[in-house]
Amino acid sequence: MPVIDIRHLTKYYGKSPGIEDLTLGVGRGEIFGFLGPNGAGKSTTIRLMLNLLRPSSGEVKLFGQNVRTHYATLFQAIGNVPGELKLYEDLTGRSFLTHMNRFSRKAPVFREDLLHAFDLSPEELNRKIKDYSHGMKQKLGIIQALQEGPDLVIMDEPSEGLDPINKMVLYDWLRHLKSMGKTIFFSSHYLAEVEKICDRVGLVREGRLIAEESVSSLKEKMVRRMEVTFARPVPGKAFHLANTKILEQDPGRLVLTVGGDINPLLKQIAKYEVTNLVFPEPSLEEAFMTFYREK
Amino acid sequence: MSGYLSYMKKIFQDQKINLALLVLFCFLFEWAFAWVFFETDIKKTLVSIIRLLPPGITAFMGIQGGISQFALQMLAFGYVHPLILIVLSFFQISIPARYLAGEIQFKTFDILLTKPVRRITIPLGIYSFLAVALALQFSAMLLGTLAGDLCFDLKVNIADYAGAAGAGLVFFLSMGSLATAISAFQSDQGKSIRMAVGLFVSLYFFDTVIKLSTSLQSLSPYSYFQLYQPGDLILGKPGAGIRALISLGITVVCFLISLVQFNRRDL
Repeated sequence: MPVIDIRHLTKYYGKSPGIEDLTLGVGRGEIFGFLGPNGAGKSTTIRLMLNLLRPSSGEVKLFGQNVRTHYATLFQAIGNVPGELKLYEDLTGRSFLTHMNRFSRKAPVFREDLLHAFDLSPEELNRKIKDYSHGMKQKLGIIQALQEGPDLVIMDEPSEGLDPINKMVLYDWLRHLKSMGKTIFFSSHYLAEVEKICDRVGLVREGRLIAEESVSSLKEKMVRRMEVTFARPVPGKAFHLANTKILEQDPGRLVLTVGGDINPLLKQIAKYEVTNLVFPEPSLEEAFMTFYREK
Repeated sequence: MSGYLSYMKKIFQDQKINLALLVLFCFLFEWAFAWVFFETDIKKTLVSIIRLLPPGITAFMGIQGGISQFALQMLAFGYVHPLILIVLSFFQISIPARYLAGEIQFKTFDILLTKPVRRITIPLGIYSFLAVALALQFSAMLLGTLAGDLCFDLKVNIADYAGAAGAGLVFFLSMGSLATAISAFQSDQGKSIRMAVGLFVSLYFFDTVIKLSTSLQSLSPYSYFQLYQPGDLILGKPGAGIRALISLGITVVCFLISLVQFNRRDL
């Protein structure tokens, strides 16, 4: 039985669609990355999963139960970090965590470990939230979601506002929860982030799920741009491989795209003296949109 | 149940200063009314002025039993004085706007309502808070009158004023109920307040017009503000029970509307 079972989910805001006919399943112990550009429908999907929005049609089942009818019971096992995180600004960090924990009826078994890992000191916790920086609020939001060790964690772009060190702390915690059999649903618009921690990814565009892949299969299908500058002119035809497409060609410079395995191309490049090589991390648009445009 | 209590606790923590100030204001206002109309020369001046006023105006002020009962009726007027109406109404309007529409607007429900909390906890918590806050406010008003009675030896029948306080509680609860129903349809705190203020100002204006115009007197049973007439209670006029029942009916209907709407809406 999948932990998350979304079937033909559709949400219209008036006449404009938020998401359309989305079907998705996530199993126990899985970290699922939900990718898409801003406005693609990620937050709408998450808000429907959390019963904050009512679907126009379709249904969401969590742990086999319909979220609309069983939300109060189901939410005992769920931790949530909203995309647009807003906390009660007049509370102190500590009283906020205690207040939220009162609703959950579970001991906050991970609170102290999380506070230590995210480096929130007792002095900081005793300050009012309105005096917190954006990053500190985000850390507090993550801690409130994870403090009871929920069986399902739903996070909408949780690394927004975190510095690189705290991003690593978050990824470590998510891996730790996964090792305990917890399920994590993680939305992001950063491919590199999802690639680091997720087992599978779903790509949503204009309200529709256009791909659902394992990370390894996604990597194979990725189309990436490469720019190589050689010490001397090279024959362009040497780089006409099955998975490459030459975009620009000068005597000593080559701009091309490569899809999937990059090793054959690297071997070919290594035959010549290279003075510079630019191989940036693909953006979501580059990695997915061009690839799936035909679909 | 624990979710409901935690939610109530949060509202009380947020509003403790406002509530304490309001309770103090209610007490002092009624005590000051007793002092002004029984202990100072203002009474004589006012009686002279009121003798000159047209009957419509005195009816508007709730003075219907003649000048002989002027002081007692002015004490009752203290329970429906425009300042009391404005302050208590705004409290009834602002609490649902802050805790329903405001929490939707500021997205704080995105965490709270993804905890194991039933949605009905929210309107239920707001109603409970409003009921407790009103009970405290009207108890303070009654205590103010009682303190005036003790200080200035007024010899008022305190049971009449207890009735007036009870009627006020039920009436203002219906007002809070209407404001909650409005907030349950809104996602903007300011808009929710504006709509509720607009409604009550219109209803008050209607009530004022029919009180001042003899030709429109027949419309008075249809005026919302006729449901709260402490002056009539003091004079022992009939109909207080019916008015309280209508107020309770409005409260129950609006409460159900709030529950249904908040339970079905997008947040």
